[in-house]
Amino acid sequence: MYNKLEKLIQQNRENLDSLEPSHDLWDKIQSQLPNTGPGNGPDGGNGGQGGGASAGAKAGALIKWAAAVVTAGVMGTVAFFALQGDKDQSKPDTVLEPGHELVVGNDQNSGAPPLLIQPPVPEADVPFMTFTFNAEKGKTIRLDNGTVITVPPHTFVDKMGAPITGPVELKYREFHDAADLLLSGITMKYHSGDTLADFQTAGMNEIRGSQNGEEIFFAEGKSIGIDLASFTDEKDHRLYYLDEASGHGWTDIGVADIVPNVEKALAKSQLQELPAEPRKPILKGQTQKVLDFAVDYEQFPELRTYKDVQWEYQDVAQLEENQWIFGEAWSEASLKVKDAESGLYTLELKNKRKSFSTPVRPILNAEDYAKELKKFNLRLDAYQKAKAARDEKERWMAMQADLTRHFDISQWGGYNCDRILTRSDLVQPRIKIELPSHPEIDVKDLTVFHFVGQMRACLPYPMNRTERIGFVFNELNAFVVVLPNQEFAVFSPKDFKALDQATIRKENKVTLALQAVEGIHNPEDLRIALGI
Amino acid sequence: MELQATTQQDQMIEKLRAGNRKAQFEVYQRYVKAMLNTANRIVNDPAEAEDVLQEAFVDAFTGIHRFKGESTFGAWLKRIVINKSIDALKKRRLQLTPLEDYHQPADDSYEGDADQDWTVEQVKRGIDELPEGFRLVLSLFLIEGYNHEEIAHILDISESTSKSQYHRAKKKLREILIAKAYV
Repeated sequence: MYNKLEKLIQQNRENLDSLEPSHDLWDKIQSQLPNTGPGNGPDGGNGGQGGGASAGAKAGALIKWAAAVVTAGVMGTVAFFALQGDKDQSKPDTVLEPGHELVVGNDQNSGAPPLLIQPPVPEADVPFMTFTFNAEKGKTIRLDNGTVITVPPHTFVDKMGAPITGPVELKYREFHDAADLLLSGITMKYHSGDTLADFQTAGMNEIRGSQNGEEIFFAEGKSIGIDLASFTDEKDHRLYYLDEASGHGWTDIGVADIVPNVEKALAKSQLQELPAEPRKPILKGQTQKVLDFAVDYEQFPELRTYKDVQWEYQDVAQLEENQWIFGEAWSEASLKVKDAESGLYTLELKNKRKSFSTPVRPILNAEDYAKELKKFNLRLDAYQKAKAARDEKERWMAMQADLTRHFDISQWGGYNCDRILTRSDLVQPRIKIELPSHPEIDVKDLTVFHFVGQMRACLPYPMNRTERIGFVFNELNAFVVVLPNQEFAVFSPKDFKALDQATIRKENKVTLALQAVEGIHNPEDLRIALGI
Repeated sequence: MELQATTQQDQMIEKLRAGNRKAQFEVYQRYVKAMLNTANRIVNDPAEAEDVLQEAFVDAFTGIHRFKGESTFGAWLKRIVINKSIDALKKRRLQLTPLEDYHQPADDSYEGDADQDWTVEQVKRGIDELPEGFRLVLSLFLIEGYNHEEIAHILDISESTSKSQYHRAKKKLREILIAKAYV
């Protein structure tokens, strides 16, 4: 039961609020907010109460962030909140969805730098390639994808500064898409000043050098040239170095030079047409009905084997029903390939009054057959060799990037040709993750990895802090979670395309049922599972 | 209309999620005075209340993803303000009235219609003079509208402690009003 005093207070709550905020309170608040929303320029949307803080924004800095550092338990997290393009309305709005967080490391209280490369499933990590060569001679290493690593002679010294001689070991690996990024566990966050962003890669690598298990170092003034294969010709990427020692993460170190892959272009220009596959001669049988006529071998080079060829009718029943054709004077006869695989042709006969077509097959008389078969075998052998060489060349060309990005390095570590991920037309429905094959798993314990940016960016979302994920419907979207048993569940771009966009937009929510997949042992397995 | 209000809130939240500065300013304008007074009732220092509010709005806007829609945005924001106000009190190392000391049966001898006809201004000044702990619980219950279970959760005390503290606070408020001749 309330007495008078209580009633008085409750009924006059608003009248008790007599304190007014000072005039600069909003300015103080605004100055601490990310200047990233649409129209949030220096004077954007503040109701006339002073300006914002973006007047000094660097030209070319597409995205400005504010980071809030949250310490949660022993894990250091950087919480990413909202991200938008600058005030220029001609640029697309860019929003990084809330709840998107980066686990940057290990025990933040230990004083140790955070781990910036943490593969979620070590067995499925992107493997290193190993190259051994003599340090005095150096080495030029060419990878199938077009990457060239040029190690000059006498590049290395030991930890005391003494020149390294003898065999050294170079470990090297690359990351080109979201599958590589996820499985390597390499951070794709960029944090510098008030800029905090996701990266979209145009090629990234990690390189380490050692001798007898001991790290080797670069001699004064020495460097290794890297021509990193890149599978995009976008030009707005910068070069970053992964500063693991301090735990700072990616540091902008300039721009890599874009270099066309001349070898691939040359190989493409020199790729010769494959000759027509020769046709094995067929021996004429005793009862076959045949037709003789001259063949234009320029038009049908595969029939060169069939010198003095005759043509076997294939549809005997048709012929028996059309005996009249043998009494007709044909003024024109032509051949067309009917089925190259089985060596069938269509013979077309015409005169002014009639026409007739029938399937035929080239055959030889016995006296010609042995001779022609020998020629055929020679031609076939030459053809198969030419085809194998061409197939190999095409396979090599398919693996090769059209361009490389060149930079020189003088310290080991990770290098990244990246740009800040921007997306326009972002929708942010409430997201519900389901694992039909593992209903016992609480999805709140999982992190969902969202593959976006032409599958060249990987955004992690801890589901215990994520309510919404941003989509751009007309681009490729895929989702992957690592299950507690170290297996994977996926939602492929094909699955995403099958979603009902209109319903999602209307209801502003979406349920993604991820299917568990087994046998993911490397990034290629994951790409296959996702169909990317 | 509730549906319309919900839709409007959803739209506003969407804008906040996108970091829309206009939406942030609208929210600020809508809630700043009430939240400032809420904070001030706890920290009892207008300058510190503004500091609290500054932190609370920044936290709310940048951490909008934590808003799950389980309450109204205002209630969520108020909870942030109150938590930060209490944190500010703790940082200030002010001794809250030892709540457990008041964990005893409530004295309801002043319940009923025995109260005088206080004015709002008198009551406000009386509340300002309450000891920290009393002011805290009384404000949370009577002005901010939390029940004792919620207050217990906010202050990390038992529900019964909250109740007894509240009754003591009410009694103390009357004593102040009478002693100061606010009749």
